[in-house]
Amino acid sequence: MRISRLLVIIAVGIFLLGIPYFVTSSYVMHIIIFSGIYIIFALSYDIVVGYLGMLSLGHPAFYGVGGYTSVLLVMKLDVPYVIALPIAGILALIVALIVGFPALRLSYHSFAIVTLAFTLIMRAVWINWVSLTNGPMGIPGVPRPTIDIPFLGAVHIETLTDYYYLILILVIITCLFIYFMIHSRVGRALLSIRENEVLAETLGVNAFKYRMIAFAIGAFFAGLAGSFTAHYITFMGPEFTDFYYITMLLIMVILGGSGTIHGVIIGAIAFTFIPEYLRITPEFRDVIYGFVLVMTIIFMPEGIGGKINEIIYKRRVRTG
Amino acid sequence: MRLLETIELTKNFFGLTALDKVNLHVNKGEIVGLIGPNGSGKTTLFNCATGVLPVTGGRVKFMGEDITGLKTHEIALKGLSRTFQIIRIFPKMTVMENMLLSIQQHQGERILSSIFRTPRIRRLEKEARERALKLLEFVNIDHLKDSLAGNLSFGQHKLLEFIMALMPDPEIVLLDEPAAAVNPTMIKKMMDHIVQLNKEGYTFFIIEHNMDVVMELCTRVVVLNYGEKIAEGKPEEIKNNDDVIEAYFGT
Repeated sequence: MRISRLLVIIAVGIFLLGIPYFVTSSYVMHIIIFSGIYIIFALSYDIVVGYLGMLSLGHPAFYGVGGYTSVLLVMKLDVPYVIALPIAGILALIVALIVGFPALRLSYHSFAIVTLAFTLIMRAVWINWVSLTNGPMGIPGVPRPTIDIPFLGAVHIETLTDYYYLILILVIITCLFIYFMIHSRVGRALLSIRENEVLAETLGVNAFKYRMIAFAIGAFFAGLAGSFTAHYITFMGPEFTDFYYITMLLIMVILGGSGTIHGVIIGAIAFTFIPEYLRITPEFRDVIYGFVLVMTIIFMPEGIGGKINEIIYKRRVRTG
Repeated sequence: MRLLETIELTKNFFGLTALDKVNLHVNKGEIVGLIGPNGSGKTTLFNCATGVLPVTGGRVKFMGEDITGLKTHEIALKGLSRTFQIIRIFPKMTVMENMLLSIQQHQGERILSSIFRTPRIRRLEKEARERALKLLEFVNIDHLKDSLAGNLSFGQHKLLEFIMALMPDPEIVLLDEPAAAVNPTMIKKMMDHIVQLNKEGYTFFIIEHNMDVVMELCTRVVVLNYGEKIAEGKPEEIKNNDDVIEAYFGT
């Protein structure tokens, strides 16, 4: 069991490392990189929606905060990208704490409305604070990242392959962190709050505090995703905080399987690729996409991840 | 020593007085019964004492300290455990996870060291696991430790909830109808457990409708009716108290 699992990990590792060598189309490579971004974005959203069980509509705001933070730091203050990237996450985290402090005391529906208002306000800020954000025009010409590695010198991230490896590293860090968090005492406390808040409190769990932690960690990774995106497409604008992202994230998380890591990863990849591949039939694109969404929700109400768990569980029961 | 004490405890629900200046106390080492007809405010008193409901007036003291208005989790961490009338467990977690969750906050919470599993956290988890196993063995459900809690039978739920309350080694355990809706064998088992734990030094404060259980188990009984304390004393005194008989049967 141990050895076979190790072999699987090695095989997956080789596959992931080899992708740039056997994917020749730069268009496909571009979609793969965006899948990576959306994996981080959707996983961070799933901490709040799936594990915490709160419907946050404020997630695109953190994506925007992360993007603007690192872009402005790199362009205006000449901060190296390796430092700007974590600061983007941390600033998103701080903003989440400020917003969460009043918002997380509210009930489920009020929380959704307040976070939605937060998204709209942040978008209005990006558009109107022209001296800082260049308003609706956005900031073009964002420099591509340069990463200084001790003893190896500066690595310039320029080609799609470079970006692919950078996002791969970020995805792995995100997945590992979330995996460890969910399987730790913190994850256990979060689940207990989602399942039965009164009982969790009775057992000594400070529900509000754990909500703040989860909301802030979710914002942190959304900030990282925003920062990477801006430096990848070399543009930063108010579109980063668009309501469109909320629908996209909800599709990825709910159809992927909220509260499962593998499900959300599959959801993020599938729902990045499907709309792209439907471009071959422009007339029917939205119809087919809608059809896929409806079918998924009918046949897999718990999402793809939930379906996988169900199959694994059934097999385990059958084999004893 | 007075462990838990309510002073003039009052609770109003929109003009309806659920608790009216109730004075009672539980001493260390006692098993105190709280009885009364339906709707007399027993569960409300538990909810006020544990911070689940805010109180309207009066004070709640725990080990000499005023805990009125504290949050539920703060009160829990001071060493006051409880169970619920309608069983509350986490059905989607395993029995062991339910048990571990019941103690982890009492062992102190450090977010980052929890996530990255420092040696200290690993040691605490091991200790918690050992204690959980001991309690599961105590009530004979240790073979179910890896099952989902939701798959257990009603009686096993009741036992699980009971030992979850014991998990953090609390000063006092508030049990809300431990013998309700379980079969006589299970009632007997539950009573044996409570008596044995009481001998080991645990203090219990029990709401119960089953008079046989109350009479046999409790060292002292408090009777509520319409939110007022109408009697207090040894079980045999209560049995013959005219006010209590009237409250239960009318005249």
